[in-house]
Amino acid sequence: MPALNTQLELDDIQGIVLSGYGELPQASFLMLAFGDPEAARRWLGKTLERIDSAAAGRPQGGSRLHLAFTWPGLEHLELSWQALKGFSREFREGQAGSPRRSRILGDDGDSAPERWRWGGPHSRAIHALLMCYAATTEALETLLAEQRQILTEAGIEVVETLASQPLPGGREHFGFRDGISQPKLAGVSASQDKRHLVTPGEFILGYPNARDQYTMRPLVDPIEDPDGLLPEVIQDSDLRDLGRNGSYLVFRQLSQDVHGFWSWLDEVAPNPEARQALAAKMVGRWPDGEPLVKAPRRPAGDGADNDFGYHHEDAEGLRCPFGAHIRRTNPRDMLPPKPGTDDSLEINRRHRLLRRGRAYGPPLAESLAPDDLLSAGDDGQERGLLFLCLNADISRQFEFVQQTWVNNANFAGLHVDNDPLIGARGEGRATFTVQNEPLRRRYHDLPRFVQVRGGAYFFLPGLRALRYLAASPHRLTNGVSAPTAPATLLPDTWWLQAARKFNTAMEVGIGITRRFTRLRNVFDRAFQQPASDAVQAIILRRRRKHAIDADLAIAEERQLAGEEDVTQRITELMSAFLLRTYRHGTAERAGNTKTYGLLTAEFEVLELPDDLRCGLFREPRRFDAWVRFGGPGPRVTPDIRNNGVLSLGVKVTGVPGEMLLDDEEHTQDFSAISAPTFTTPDVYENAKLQRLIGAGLPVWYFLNPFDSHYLDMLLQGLYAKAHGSPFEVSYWSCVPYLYGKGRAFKYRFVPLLESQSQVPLPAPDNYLRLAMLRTLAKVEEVVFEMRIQFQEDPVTMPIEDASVIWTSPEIPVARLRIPRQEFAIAERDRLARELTINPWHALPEHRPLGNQNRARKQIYYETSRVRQRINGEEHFKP
Amino acid sequence: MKAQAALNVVMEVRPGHEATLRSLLERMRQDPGGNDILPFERLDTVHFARWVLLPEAHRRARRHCPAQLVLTANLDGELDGHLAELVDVGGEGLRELLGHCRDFPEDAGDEQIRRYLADNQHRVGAFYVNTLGRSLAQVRLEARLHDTLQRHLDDGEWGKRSATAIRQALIDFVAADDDLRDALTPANGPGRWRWLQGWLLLGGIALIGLILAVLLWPLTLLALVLLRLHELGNAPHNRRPRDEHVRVLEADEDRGVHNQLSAVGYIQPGPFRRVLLHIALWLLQLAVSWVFYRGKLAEIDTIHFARWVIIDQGSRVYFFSNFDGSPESYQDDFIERVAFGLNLVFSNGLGWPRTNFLVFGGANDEQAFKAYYRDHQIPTAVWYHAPAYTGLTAVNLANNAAIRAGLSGSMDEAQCRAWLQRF
Repeated sequence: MPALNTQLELDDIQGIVLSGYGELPQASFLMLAFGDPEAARRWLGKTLERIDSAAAGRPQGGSRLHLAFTWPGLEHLELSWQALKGFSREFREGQAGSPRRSRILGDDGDSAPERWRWGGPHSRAIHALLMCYAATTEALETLLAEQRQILTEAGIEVVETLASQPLPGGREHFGFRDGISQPKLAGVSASQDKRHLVTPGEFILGYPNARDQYTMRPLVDPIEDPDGLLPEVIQDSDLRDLGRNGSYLVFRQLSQDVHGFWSWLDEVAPNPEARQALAAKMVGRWPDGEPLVKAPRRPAGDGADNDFGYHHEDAEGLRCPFGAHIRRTNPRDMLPPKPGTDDSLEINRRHRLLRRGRAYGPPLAESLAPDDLLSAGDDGQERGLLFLCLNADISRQFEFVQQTWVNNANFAGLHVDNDPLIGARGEGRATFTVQNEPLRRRYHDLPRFVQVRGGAYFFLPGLRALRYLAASPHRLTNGVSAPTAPATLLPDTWWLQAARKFNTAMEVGIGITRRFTRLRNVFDRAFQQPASDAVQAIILRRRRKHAIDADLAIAEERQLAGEEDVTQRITELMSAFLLRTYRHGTAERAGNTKTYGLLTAEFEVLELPDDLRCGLFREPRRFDAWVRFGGPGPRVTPDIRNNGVLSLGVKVTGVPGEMLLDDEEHTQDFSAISAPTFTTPDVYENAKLQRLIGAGLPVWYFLNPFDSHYLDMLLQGLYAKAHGSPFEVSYWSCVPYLYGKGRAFKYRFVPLLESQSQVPLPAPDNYLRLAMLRTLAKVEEVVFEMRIQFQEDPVTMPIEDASVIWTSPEIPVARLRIPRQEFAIAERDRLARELTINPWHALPEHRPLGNQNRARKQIYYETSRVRQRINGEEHFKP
Repeated sequence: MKAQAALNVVMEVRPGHEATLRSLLERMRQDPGGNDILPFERLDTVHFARWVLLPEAHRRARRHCPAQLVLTANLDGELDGHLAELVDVGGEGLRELLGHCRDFPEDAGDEQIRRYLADNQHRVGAFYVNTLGRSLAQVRLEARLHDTLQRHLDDGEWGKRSATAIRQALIDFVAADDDLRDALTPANGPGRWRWLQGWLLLGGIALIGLILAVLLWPLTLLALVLLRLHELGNAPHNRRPRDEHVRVLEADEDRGVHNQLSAVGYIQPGPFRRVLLHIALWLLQLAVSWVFYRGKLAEIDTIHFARWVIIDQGSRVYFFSNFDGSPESYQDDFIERVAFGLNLVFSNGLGWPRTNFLVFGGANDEQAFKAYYRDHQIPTAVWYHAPAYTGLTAVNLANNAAIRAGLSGSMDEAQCRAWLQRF
């Protein structure tokens, strides 16, 4: 039984969800195409005032207005990409969006999307649906005229108008009473009927569904909803819920061939009574709505009734055929494995639809009596049903019913039978079987009675979501960088919290050991090199044993399997981190976060032998450069508390020639860190680390006994320490670059400074910057020597594995001269935040090599754009 | 009774040959039954078959699982005879295809091709068959029987007769038809009480297991603690599958009443999970061959064949299955009816949604499970089903078998009535 205690936020749900508006029989549906997005948002802001929520109760005359959007419509309104990615795939693709969808919905032949009047691949794109309901035709006319005027003023075009015409007696065009069976929402409806009571979360997003889980819906970070327009997610998360109180609306224009239906029946049935009986067998009810299960042979005149099941009343289909329309669209308790029980009803509950359809077109005969419909002949008029239904999960509800029940020739053990009333036809699915004793009666070659003229999937937002859509957009990400919603929101369990506390404890512990700097320096002098060699020996032994990369040539790269996807996921993870962590104007880099100083410098290429003259080093000359000394992330912390690995970014300017990236011109960047190996050996491990950083558990990356990185941890530990000054540290590139054709190199910036700064204890938060200031006050210039080493062997000096230190001889090629200057000023700090150091700002001769370098191209580019948008900055071109 | 067997050949692809191989497979995909490389239709006993190209996969420390070509088939009878027939039917095209695989001999003759395939056969961890002993010939015969009888019933006037009379008339009709006469003899199936033996066997194992667990309680406690630690340490992948990936997979789905799944995943590292997986597959194999061989796997009656195979020296598993209905309903069936079974086997895989004590949680998280399914599904290069199966679900096949069975033996009026409702 569904939970009865879900409290719905009635004032946020659009009224059409909770009521079919039987009191407003006139309706018209306008398909809209937006023009200018700003004008469309303004129009939305005005129109949403007119939309009634469910709290307004049942309408007492007058008119009602409701609004829904397609995915292209939401994209046009410039909704945040994070939210756009959070909608279900069916909605994103659209009803005509993939050949498979058309296959499973039975949209083939004349019903194929290519032939649709609207919503098909050749029709004008639809952005929104304006639903107008009124009590009288005059009221509807007035409403429509008024709305059309407003739409024209906003530059919004009405692509298609579908006017509904109510039929007498609540019937549809074939002459049968419609809309009898609807699910009843638990907690809203007073009904106690077990068969029809369904939890509201099956139709309204943001509430638990029939599996007691939350259906996926679009969520955004608080930074993209600074005004707090959206409700919060209920589970452990500070995300804001765009989908809450909304629903997915399925809209299909179904054209009914009334004449074809009754004349076919006339052909196969000998007399009017048999005709009506066969029609009733096809539907499952008599025209007045009485179910066959209760009155199998002739209508008893009791009228419409919805209180019945199938298994106990009619297990063999002798009353209501197995393939009848209502038995297919709502099997009630006949679903295996335990038909007739509550378990079976449980299963059925997960595939219910909340229908809000309206008839359209003039009736073929006013009375809608079968004999009159037959004798009226074919008047060539278009008529049928505007099928609308609401559900939270299009795939599990609407598409499931269409595919697994309606258009299934093998439904309930049948062989070649589709839904006789609305099903698609074709070879092997045009038969209707009427179970009977002693033998069934089969009818073959049924024509198709219902064709599809148009269709679309819409999202019907809650009122707060509408307000959010009308507000100015905060598009901080693009389609590539926006974080994808996870498959399910993971709860914050006790052991995750415990693991985070452990992580903090470890970090504090490491922080404490950092303070023993003198001891550490002694240890380093004695043990750093031998320990590093030992670890490398283990790594190299493994590489030699498996002959990893032995088949590669010098400077030859190898794409890792699935590399692009991993890169994409890292980009999304890092963007998600940025969105979650920063407020406007304060976003830092996701990595190499803290700036100690941004300094101007001179990059002097030395006199080199001929075989080394290549690319930037073609001839000895001096370039201007920016040099950024930075610290690790992911957040800005006091210097003593970071993870001990410093970074260097050099941006050489005025470099002639075409560069690999075109967002800047004539700049060659170098990026290095104060350890000879990267934290992660390749892009796969990097993705794991990023994911754990996002969860607040970076320590677990190294220590996880099921996926340990002990050697990497040791190597990092050997070089991560509290440094005295950024000027006194070597910076390694860790990953290789091209040096002209057929050669690969790594570089190192070696400090030529003689002094040895001590780490002051207790350490001020910015002691590293202070050390730099002190040094520049004493000396005229600080010099680094750039040394390179070439790859000599693909196995022991790999391109794709950043945890192996190359042991080839180092050759000095350039000097970085940093003159005395003022750098601890706000202007420089702001510039430092805007600057992007990306190793892909490079000459083609120095193309970055290796999977982590390849990944950096997209990651740096995208995350720096996200950062800049969060801060409202332009990309800085030096 | 001839039991169905699982042919399973896994061959490593020569580095650099993946692209050519893909184009050859694409050619086969256009016509799985009648292509010029290996026309499955000419093999008389193959129910379902497929070629899958397992793409190269990344492993820790810069190693990788190379691309592998997998050929699987579900056929009647013993495997040995079939390989020769397969090679015979394959001929030149097959030699060209296999030439792209590692260690395939130059200028191989038929016998060498057969030996190559035999050498590369890979053990199947567990193999599920919907109905044991229902050969392709039986499927064909019963389908023919059903169709002919349906047409006969449509054409005739039966209104006034009793159910017994109608049945007798049908039996006479079948006896007079050369193509259908064999249907009058009951099909050869497994022993009547096999399932009882199966339940006793499983019950016995469960009892012994329970006794051992209680007697060696410190070991059991340790195992539970280890299990819980493994479960906490396993980070669920929790990834939504990419749209392009799903689009590729969907291109071939729902073109008939049957669908297939080829999924591959890593086993969680560590000996504990590996042992657990082996135990789970062993129990599963016992269960499917002794208990779930009569049309249902637990409560699911839509699967024709399924197999679990451990590859790459125990680091990965692949799961291939042939079933009726949409992947969505297949997934729903699994979540609703046998989630604990899924958890038992697949929770040993890397990235499975989090389980509690092996059987709770996991697949019960609908959206996490559905995302995992698509995320680990790989495109099946070539998929074949025997023409006799076209348009027939497992339920239909069981119904056809019951119709055939009803032609022999004696039935009273009520039983005849019930039998006639099967049409």
